[in-house]
Amino acid sequence: MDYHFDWSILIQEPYLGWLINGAWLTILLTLLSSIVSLAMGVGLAFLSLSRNPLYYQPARLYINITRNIPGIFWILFFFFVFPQILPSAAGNALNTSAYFPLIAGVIGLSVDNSPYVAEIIRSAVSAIPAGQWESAMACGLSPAQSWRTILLPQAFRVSAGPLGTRLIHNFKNTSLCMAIAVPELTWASRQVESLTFRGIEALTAATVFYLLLGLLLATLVNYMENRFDQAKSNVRS
Amino acid sequence: MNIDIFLQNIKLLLLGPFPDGQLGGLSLNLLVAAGALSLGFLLSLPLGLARKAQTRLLRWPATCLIEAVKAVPVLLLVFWAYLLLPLLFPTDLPPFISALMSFTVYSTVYLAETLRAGIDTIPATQRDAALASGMHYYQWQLHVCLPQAIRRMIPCYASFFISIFKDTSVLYIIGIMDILQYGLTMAESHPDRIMTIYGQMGLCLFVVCQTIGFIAAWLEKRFEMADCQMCRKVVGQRSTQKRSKATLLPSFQRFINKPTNQ
Repeated sequence: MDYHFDWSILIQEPYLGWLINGAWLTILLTLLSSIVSLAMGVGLAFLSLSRNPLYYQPARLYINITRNIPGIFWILFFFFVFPQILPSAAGNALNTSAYFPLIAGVIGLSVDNSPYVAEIIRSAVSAIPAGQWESAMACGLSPAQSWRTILLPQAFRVSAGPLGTRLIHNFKNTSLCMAIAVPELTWASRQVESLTFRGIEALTAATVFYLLLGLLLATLVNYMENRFDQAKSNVRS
Repeated sequence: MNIDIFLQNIKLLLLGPFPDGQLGGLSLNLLVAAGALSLGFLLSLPLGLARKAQTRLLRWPATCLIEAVKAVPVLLLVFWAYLLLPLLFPTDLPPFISALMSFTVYSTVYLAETLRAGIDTIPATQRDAALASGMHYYQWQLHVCLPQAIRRMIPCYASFFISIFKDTSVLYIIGIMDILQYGLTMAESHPDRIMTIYGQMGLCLFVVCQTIGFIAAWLEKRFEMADCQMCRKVVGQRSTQKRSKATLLPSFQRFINKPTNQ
């Protein structure tokens, strides 16, 4: 194997700056897309739980379409096709904006993550016993009050674990944004590789970061799951 | 929009230049996914068993390998294979082989986790009964545990196939001529038709994934019914006099003591 290792490129100035910026941008992409997909997922979940077909049919259709098409397609779609769909003034403004790859990446990742979040929340809400809703009504609470004080906290306890797993999956999916030149960690490691030809070192740096942060997130999610575990909790159900 | 161009595009997206060149397009995605699933299933059996082994010597390296590969994005695994394989094997490998290798590693690890989940569903009483009947650990696994575990996890394998098929779409980044590569090249050379091209790509991907999804749902229902029937046969809803030994798994019959004639 005639490959000359040169680990010092990882500490040389432009390359180290790119890798660190890439790491921060990965974290930013994860946070933004998780928050947006959580908002979308909650809305979708409540739409798909409704009894009115005017509400749940579009929601089920959206969930089916976004779940069956890969995330990279959505990221490319929102970068290349979405400005063309909008009216030309808005489309031109988007295309020439400096932050457009980041925006398209966040929207693409959120659209990719949202059906899974919606399904998790829908099954969590369905798992609440029907007696809870009825007794809340019997106590005289309005629907908004009963959701806020009784039903949603229970739904959150059930869904916290799967949502954490989805967060980790979203974190790994941010590497797809390199396809539209968002300068996140995978893109930065490819840039370092194309300039220095030291691909293994650059890829090792990226892998180590994903490993460390991934294992940290997994530990946090595990802790949260144990904290919200129904079977071991002291609260009488 | 011209129907001829539409059909030409669809053929390119689905098969690539197939009769006049190498297979590409959606068929290449399916080929990589199916190949990775098959090879990964075979390799996941030893890895999954090592993950559940009783000695730390097997369990710790298996756990480290599984957690390490699970924490890394698929795209990074593809890049690793793309960089490492030409260094390890000096001959000129087609990028298809490095793609297949990376997805095989990915599916080995995830299928090993699925197998672990399957083994966890087998009650410990079966293990105790098997060991008490005089079986070794490997005999218990081979004849009792794994047949049940794998059968129960078949719907999970089907849904994993959907997931890995969607993940093979990232292969266009290393230059493999799959459906996204053809779609993006067409979109770049015909920017006025970009929406129809993306629509065709999305439609092909959606149809394939939804079809496999229906098959997975059917498998889940069928195995749910079959599991109940298997349970009924083994536990015996009919009276014990009528229950014949043939209802038990054939490989298990060797361990049943044949009644001696007094």
